[in-house]
Amino acid sequence: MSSHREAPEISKDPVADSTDVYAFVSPDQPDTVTLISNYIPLEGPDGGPNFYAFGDDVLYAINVDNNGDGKPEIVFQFRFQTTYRDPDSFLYNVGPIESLTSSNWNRVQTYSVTRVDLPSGQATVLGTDLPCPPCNIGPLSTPNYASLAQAAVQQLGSGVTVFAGQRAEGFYVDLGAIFDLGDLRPFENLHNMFGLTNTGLSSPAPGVNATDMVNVHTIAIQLPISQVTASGTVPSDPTSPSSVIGVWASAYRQKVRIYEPTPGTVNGTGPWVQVSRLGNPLFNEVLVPITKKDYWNSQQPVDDAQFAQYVANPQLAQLLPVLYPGVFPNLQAFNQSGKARDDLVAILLTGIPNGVVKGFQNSGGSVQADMLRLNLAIPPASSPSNLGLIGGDPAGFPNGRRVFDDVATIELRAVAGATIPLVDPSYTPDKAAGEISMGLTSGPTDLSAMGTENYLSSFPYLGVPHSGFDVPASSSC
Amino acid sequence: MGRFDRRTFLKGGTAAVAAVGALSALPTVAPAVLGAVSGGAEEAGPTLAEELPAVGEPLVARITDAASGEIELYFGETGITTRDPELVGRLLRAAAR
Repeated sequence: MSSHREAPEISKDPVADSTDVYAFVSPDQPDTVTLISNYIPLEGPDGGPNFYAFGDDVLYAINVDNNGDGKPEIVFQFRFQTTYRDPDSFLYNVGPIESLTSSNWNRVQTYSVTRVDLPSGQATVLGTDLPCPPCNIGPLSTPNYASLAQAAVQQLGSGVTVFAGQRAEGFYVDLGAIFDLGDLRPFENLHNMFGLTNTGLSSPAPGVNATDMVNVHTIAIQLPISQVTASGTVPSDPTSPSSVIGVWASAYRQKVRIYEPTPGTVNGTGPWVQVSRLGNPLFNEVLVPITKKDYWNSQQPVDDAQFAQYVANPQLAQLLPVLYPGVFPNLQAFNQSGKARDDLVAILLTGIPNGVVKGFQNSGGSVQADMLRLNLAIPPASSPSNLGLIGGDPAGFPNGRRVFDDVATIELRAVAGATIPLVDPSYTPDKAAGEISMGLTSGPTDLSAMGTENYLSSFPYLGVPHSGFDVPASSSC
Repeated sequence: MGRFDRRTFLKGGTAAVAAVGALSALPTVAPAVLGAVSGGAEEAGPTLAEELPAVGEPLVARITDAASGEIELYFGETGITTRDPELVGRLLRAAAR
């Protein structure tokens, strides 16, 4: 949910609302790359009677730029179709679903995957009638769910593996606090509180993972690295721009929707229109003005220079010294100088070039485009840090994004000035900039957000979804 | 690829980075799968049967510029822009009833 319900219009359209995108060299199969895009934010496990599914009327895409021009050279398109084994039943399932072909499973969804190479437009269908797993309902409806869902991991040949279906939400964030006027619970006693009294915020408090016990719908594809690079080979030189790919997700709806009261259907017609996209986490969520967020969703990354001003002078950076008086004096002085945040522009719009961070670069070119930029020549970390690059781990965000990267903390620290020295070595970040945190991990080596996240060590890496039977959530929510 | 290195980066990344310029008009998704709204001069009508909307398939007309008679037609996965002042006039009169 690093971009969940982030724009007014898309917030009304959950099945087309991209929540997170991940891109990383697969840690258990380092000759492959894994690309993941998630949809349907804040998906409650107990979603009966229909539960949740991808939109049959949505075109989902994962895009890859492999030459640094800000445009996709490879697009993986996903289309879904729902069928009903018993259209006269009101039930999602009429008995235990013990296999993906169970006749007890009424509302079944399948999908196709097509690879499109641009600019030629050559389309290659990689798979059709691929099964989504059912939603995780409970011990009677979906016994042995983990293995049931694992059966939906499909091998398509040529080393390509795909999965599309429900997963446990992997993004962790103290949503309730951060959007309560920038409350960071570990530091909330320092908040200016706008003069309010009796707020109950007099002491530091532990963070609360808002996504604990919620699910998401995941599209995941894993494929040999050589199949996404421009050269068709596996990069070995981390200093070469050609080792970097840009990745983002997009979703489309047809231009016109026609509601037919009889027989109670909704059909689309006309050309596909992009209604959602996501590259770097939190870009549209916290940098783009609210009146431009849906417009941002309609645009292509190659045109993101029009939004660079919001990255170069983010409102959030201006607010931090105001919300936390006396905590960010250096940031405040920097803000008052009027200097642009070229560090954020590099991290989020162009990638970091060679020579700025020793042993690291993820800049495939100079085009300002919001994409996850993954350097395929940097191997997975043997001892990962959830703080990624700023934690000394070049295999983590902003080098692509792994499922356990604490992107909210990383980006807050960056916005708070921790990364200004990348472009201005004379700047000294405030002490707080290096300590700011969502408060959801026990430390940089915590890859489970204090036990609220249960990732898998293999594809599709996001954990087994929570069952509706087990919700309402535990007291940690 | 444009020149983008440590020296230009430290001097001021935003200044060194070339602006993209005008919004891209190129479709970024496969035309084979995703239709694009194609502009065209005033058309006499499609000449191939397979270009016509299928029987029973919705066809939606949207007047985008009544003064010039510009109208967009949506069907299937396609959008067509055409100019037909006479058609636009008839549609507007029908809507006014």
